[in-house]
Amino acid sequence: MYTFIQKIALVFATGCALALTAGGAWAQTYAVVVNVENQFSGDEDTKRTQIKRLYLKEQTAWPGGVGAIPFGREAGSPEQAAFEKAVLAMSSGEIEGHWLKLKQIRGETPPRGIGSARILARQIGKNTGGFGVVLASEAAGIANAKVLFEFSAD
Amino acid sequence: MNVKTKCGAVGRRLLHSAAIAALLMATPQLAMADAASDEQMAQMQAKLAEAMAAIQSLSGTVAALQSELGAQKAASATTSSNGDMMAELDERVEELEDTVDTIDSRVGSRAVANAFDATKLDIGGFVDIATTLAIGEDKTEAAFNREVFELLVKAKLGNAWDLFVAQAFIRNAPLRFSDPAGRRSPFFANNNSPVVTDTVIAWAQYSKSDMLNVQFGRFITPHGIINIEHFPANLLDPEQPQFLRPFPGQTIFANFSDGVNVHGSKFIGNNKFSYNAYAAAWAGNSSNVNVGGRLAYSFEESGLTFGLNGTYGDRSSTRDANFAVLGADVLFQKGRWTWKNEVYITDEENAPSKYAFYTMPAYKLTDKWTAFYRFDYLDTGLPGGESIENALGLTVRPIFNVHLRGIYRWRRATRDAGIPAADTHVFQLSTTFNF
Repeated sequence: MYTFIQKIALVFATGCALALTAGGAWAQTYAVVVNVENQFSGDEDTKRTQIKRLYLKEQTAWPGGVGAIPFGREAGSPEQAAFEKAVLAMSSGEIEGHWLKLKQIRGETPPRGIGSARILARQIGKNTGGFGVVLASEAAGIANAKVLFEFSAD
Repeated sequence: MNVKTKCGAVGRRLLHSAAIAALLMATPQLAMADAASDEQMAQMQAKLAEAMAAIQSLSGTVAALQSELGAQKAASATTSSNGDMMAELDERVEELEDTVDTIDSRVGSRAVANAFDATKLDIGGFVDIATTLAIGEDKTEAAFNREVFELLVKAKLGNAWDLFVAQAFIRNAPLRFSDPAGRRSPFFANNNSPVVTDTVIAWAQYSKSDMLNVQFGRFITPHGIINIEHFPANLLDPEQPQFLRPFPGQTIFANFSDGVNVHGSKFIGNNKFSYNAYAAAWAGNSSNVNVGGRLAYSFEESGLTFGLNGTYGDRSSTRDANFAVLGADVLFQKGRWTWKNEVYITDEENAPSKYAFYTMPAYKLTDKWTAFYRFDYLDTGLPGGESIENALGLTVRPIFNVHLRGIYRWRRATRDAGIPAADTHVFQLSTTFNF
């Protein structure tokens, strides 16, 4: 027979196991992919900062001088939501305010949002300065592209 | 190893075993043949030959079976590969259909607009509407005093060349005072006048890099914070600070300039340096060239930006009116807080110096709601030219394209040169729709 403490421990352990299992199931990993000829390197913080500046069009070229071509994902898609949360670290209101300001002052528009991972992959493969976000599991199959860094939305 | 391959291997082993057994059985018979007749020897040789032929025949049959099994296996693999390819093609076709459907829903049977010579063309704009109630010392006035439609067009002319135009259609009746001291009897000037047009911005830009861009044409005078962000869709308070009124004008500096503006920015670690340097004429004073610029440094971690502004020129083409402006601005933008501050002082030829200052903290209550306060001070140096405004506002963006605001403004013209102080209370509701 289990003692009362053993029962509590068993329930706790079961709960932890379920939570970890559920967490593992929901923790999707994403990858920022760039063209295979992209020479940019650095630690993860540097890469994230660079991607944020290029996506928000605060910078228009990669450090090596190649013109940046940022691509977004379809509004509301899990990839775009994870990117905005984990890489841009901005709320939707802040992002909208940013693009509104750039539209009025410089006539800039947000990066093109692409729904299909295959079409995005094709664009990144074709453009040296291109980059975008895909599921980490999709990244390996993209021709002429490589993973700059991976992230999760948690 | 699969089952079919195993069958082949077992078959081969059985045949080899049978051949070896036949040879072993034949060997003693061959030994006995020494004493037998040549006829018996011949018969035995014939039997051996038959056994060898049978073995060869069986080997051939097994080889044929193995070949058949291999062909079946290859055919199976090809079928599987074709299935994968078909699934991938189906997925791609579905993606293409979705894309075509999206484009079709946007275009339908309508004509597709083409730019004559631009490689890319973006068109947008906004409508800004305001209604205002002003309660003065001697008079109360109310009006729908502002309707502005502004069209924004950006064209990409080539890899390094852009064109940006903001064409405004304006019916604006700004608050003025009809009493001699200009502080007791508010009214809305030009309230019955027709819509006027103004090319607010029209510049072409050559971009060498982020560090070097050259604008030619009509651009926003690059000083401070609010003038640079001056579009109503961006602003919490569409009534700009006093030193930027009347619009357009040049109380301290002009809202717009016509000339050349060289500007750029560079990230230095986590910080950002940016600059502007211009040589331009100002609206209403096209015969004089003013030179000026702005240096700014942003600290990304702390959210602070410091700016220094300076300009020198001549305010009038009909009299000696050289002037110099020196200004500073500080912007704090982090989390829910945005805090804008600007201060300017001028040195005027044949006129008193001017002084202007405002501070404007704003707090995001939610992602849609923002509350702000602005203390705004202007001293034109002229008798009765000192005024203070305190503005308190609440704004909301129910959706991204709509900005609604409610603002209370307490304006005080201070006692000066024997002119008594006077208060005006202004309530304004305004909306900006942008697209």
